[in-house]
Amino acid sequence: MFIRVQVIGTGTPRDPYRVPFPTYSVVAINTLGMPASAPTTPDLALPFANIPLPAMTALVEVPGEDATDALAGAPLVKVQTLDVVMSATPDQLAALHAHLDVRYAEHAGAFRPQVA
Amino acid sequence: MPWPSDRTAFYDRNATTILKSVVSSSVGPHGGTNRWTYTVPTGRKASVQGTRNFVQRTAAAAPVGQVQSYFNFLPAAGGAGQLGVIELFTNTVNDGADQTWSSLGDLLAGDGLTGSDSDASTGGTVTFTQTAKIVEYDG
Repeated sequence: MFIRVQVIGTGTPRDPYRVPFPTYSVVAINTLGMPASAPTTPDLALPFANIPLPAMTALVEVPGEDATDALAGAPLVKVQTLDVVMSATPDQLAALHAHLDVRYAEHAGAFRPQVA
Repeated sequence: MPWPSDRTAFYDRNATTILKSVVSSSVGPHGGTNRWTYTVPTGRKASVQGTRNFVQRTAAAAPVGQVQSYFNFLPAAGGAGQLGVIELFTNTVNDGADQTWSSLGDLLAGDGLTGSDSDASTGGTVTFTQTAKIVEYDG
């Protein structure tokens, strides 16, 4: 499942740019908009043209077991050949977070991805 | 536990194969970025059976800075540590390194692994690849 989510972190070794999903792969990431004190210039790793990526967002692929049920009703936006979730209701987000708390009980309360 | 064990081998315990791999082609300087993360679900374990870590400079920087590509181990109890690192300090196009490891060991429920990189240069581009082959199974 492909989802556009907010990026967290400051790009330092202890606080890398990342997505608060337990398991994911980055398709494209835009860390523009990071704090001015960040140590380096932004990464604009955009392997596909025309992916709409606002500042500090990423398009990621996550396992269906982690998100499909909770985001089943979310609208899909066609990006190139990918069907991407770019918005979700508060109820869908709450269901997603609750599901991650159960599936990854050792990290309950830690994984709080925000669909962007 | 009786010996011989009455448990089946790990690969016979509802095992699934997982491949994490991201190729970041000719990207500019950036802070530390997790290209992928894998976390072991509750009730499961995982064996990281093979990895590849690749870096290649594709455009010269001015000046060059430290380039890193690495796997970061995230224990369920907290903390983090690099398990395999490539560091590149040279500035010639096509300079790079390619590491393959047979294993990064086993992960327990809640443990995590990332494929990550950073480039502290000014200008220039680098291609990164971090790949891991993982078998996840009932704990």
